[in-house]
Amino acid sequence: MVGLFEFLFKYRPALFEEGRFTFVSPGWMQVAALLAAALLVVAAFTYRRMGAGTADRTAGAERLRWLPPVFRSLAIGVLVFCLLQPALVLSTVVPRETFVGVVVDDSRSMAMPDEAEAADGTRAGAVLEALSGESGSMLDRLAERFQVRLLAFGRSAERIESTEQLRFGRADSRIGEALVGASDELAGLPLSGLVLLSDGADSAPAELGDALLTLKAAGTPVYTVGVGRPRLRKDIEVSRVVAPRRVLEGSTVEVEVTLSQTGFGGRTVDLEVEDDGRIVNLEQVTFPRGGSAVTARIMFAANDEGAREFRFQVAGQPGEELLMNNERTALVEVLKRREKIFFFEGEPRDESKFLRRAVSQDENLHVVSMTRQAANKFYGMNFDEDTRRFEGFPTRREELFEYSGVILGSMEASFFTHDQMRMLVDFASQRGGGVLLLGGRRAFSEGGFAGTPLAELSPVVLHDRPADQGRPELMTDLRIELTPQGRGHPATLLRDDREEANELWPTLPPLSAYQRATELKAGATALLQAESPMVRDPMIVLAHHRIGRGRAIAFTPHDSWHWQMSADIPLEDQTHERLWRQMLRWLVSYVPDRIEIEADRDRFEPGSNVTLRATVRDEAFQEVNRAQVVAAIEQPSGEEVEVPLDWSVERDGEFVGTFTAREPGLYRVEVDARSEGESLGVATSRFAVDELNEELFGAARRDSVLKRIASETGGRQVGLGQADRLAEDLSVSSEGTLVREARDLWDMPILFLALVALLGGEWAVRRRLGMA
Amino acid sequence: MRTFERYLYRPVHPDEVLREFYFTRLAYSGHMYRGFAGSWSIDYPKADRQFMVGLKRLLDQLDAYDYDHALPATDPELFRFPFLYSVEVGYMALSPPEREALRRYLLAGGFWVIDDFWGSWEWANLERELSLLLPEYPIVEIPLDHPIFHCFYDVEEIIQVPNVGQGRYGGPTWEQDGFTPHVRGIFDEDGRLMVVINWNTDLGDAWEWAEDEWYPVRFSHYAYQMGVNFVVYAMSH
Repeated sequence: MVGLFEFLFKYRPALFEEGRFTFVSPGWMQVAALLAAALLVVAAFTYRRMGAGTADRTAGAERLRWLPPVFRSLAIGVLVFCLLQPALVLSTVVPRETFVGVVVDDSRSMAMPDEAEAADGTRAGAVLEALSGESGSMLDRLAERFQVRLLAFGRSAERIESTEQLRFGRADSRIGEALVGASDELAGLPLSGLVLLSDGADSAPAELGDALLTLKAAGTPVYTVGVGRPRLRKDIEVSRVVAPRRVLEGSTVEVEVTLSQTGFGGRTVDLEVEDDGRIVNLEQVTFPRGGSAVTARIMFAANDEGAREFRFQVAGQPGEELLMNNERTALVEVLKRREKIFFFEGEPRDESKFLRRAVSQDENLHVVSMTRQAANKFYGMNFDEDTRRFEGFPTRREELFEYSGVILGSMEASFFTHDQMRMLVDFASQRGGGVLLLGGRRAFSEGGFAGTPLAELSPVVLHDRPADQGRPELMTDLRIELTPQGRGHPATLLRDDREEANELWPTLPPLSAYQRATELKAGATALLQAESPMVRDPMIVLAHHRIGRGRAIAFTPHDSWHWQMSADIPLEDQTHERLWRQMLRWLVSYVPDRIEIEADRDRFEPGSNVTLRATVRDEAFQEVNRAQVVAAIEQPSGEEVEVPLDWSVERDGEFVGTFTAREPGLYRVEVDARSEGESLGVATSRFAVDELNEELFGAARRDSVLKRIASETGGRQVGLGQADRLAEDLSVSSEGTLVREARDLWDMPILFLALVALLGGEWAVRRRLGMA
Repeated sequence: MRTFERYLYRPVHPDEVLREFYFTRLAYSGHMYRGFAGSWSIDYPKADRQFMVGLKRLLDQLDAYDYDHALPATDPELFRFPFLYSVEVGYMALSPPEREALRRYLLAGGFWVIDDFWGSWEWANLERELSLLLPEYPIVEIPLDHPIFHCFYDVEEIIQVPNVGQGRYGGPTWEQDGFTPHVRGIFDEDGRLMVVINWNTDLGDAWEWAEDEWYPVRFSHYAYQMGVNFVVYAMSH
């Protein structure tokens, strides 16, 4: 389209956009107007006479009679337009008085072999040929009009003298920072613009927009030259890994891995999870035939304490163009610590006994229980020096909020004061704790939860149950089965093998429940359900939903202990133990601590600025703004650096500081928060510094990035072989040392074509009318 | 075991409301018969029912079954009732299937209270039976600071509880050569008590005759305290 325009109008649309239209000989305007008028009069008179002399005209011919004078008039108009010498006035740079920065992507992704035009087939080869090849090189063309400064960039832009210094081996590719750096490097010089040669792969953690705003403010247009194919022919990429930052030792880690592909639709590949060279899981993933990406949920046990770097990888496939993007690593801290859970039970019953017993050997769970034996007489268990002792249900937030999870057994709502119920809801919503509601004859609707704050906790819809209805009816013979959402969920995975686990559920002994829970609340998810002849719809057995920062889970049967103690269950069977271990670990997973410290990501490139963010709360989990917070960072070499963190102002209790991580390796951060000389607590976190090769992910040419850079800075995107055009575009930009230049438009081919068409049309009509 | 003994078993009728707690008496095989049934049925069912009356009053939050409930060890239903009570185990002679079932029951999480047997001869019989049942687990004296003595009532000393005859008439509290009462137990590898052995004492009679004006109240009082603690411990450990 641009080519056709250029053929007809002599110049490209870009020049018309930049230039201003004018007539070089405006003094001829009146003479030309008189001449045109005289010619028109003569023409009209002539046609009138000739028309009068023609006798036998049809009605159609009569209508065409007016065309020849119109054609003639227009032709005269075109001629007069040409006589007035139309021209396009452009501000062009004074040759070799202004500067252009050519910024070349020197990163590893430029070695990709997807440029057919290059002799060696690589992007780098194509760039070198375009820049300094023998015929019509870009640098030569630019040098005809500009002083050219060559820069190479990875993380930042550096001046180079010649293309021979390009290595195409840098691990990083930060386009925004490089462009701003190049602009700064050439600051003070009359700069026409920057030319960016890149594949658009940007590995910068920061948003590109900030850099573009800086360039726009500096008035530096960026002309982008895209390298590589916009789509790889055959490639598989581990695009995204979403893993928890921390898990308890021995927990099942659930990770979402997104695999993208081109050219492998329908192919089944093995996705491996490696922990320190050991394969801990292998999942087969089949790519959809139509789409390009698929997300796999993969689970594995985190059994070794410490900072573990789990590697997720797909073996290279035959014909795959890029293998380095087939793996990603996630840093997961496997914690050996005891999560404290408070189990409040309203009556002595075997369910609570067996539940506690199931998790008693789990070193990462510390279940403190309080069971009502008689009215106002409680039996507390497992209190130790780490836990505050109290009788009944806590009345102070500090007592309850020291736990990560709460299990509420068969206890009627009327036992609690309104404040205690509210506190329990706040435990989930504000403190971020997990609340597990167990089934029982005094729980849920049967325990009068409906209409009280406790109802907020329930993921199942509750109903009013009049007190005079007596003992609730027990629904027996419930065969438990997984819902679609429950398949493969970490809480319901009772065997290592997912299929085996799915098949196990229907074979377990049937249970019973007092709860007729058949309806989920909006936003809740059911993982287990059961059929019963006593209810029409499937009964909800296990469901959960989020409440503010926390989570509430409902488990409605009251006798899961039959899975431990049954004539049909072998002694060595661990189903019951595993169910409750997983359930309670799930309950307290992602529960925030009072003091928390987190780097903004788990992995960084060497030299990155790491933002550390600490959250500080008091014992009642109220955010504290007046605190002295210091992060002690232990570097891989063992050297320790202290970074003071300041209150961010944006959020209560949030303290922020930055640190530049230069050494590759694993870093440990310990934050200490103090208020008025007293320690509020400490927290630790880890992050890794390594070559991430981020630019190799999404390695095809990213036109969207290149177009955005060009359009937001006032530049233009051009192809590799368009060096002439690039030089011309740059020369008419408004930056640099400029001179005005008028370019003739009278010889535009479109004017000649118009003249020929008008005169030819006149002749044809006259022939038709018999006037020729 | 004689066929007509089965008439004494009282399994839970399907139409009855299921409860959280059943005071289940083990109907074991043995050498001695009194009337229609073996030694397991001594004081049965009155002691059991009487105990339930007191238990429900003292543990008013316990959803307990009101009646006696006896099952043989070989009944698979036994696994649904993790609390078990036995008396007169000096005459107990478990069959291999009973032994196997009882072993599984205890290791899976069951709790067994043994009561009312006296003297060294009866002890030797129980010891032999237990050595066949749980050979890898020793019988040990339960110290007084163990939670089973403090989980509901604080029991500070072990008292010898006499049978109803000797208790009513103020006779000696011992029988045979069982002069000193003991509370012994068998723990699993996690420290959970699986078996509690009340030797040279008769808690069952103290429950059964608690309402008898001639039976000393201090024995009933103590027996109930012990019984309640056993139930609380069984349902929490």
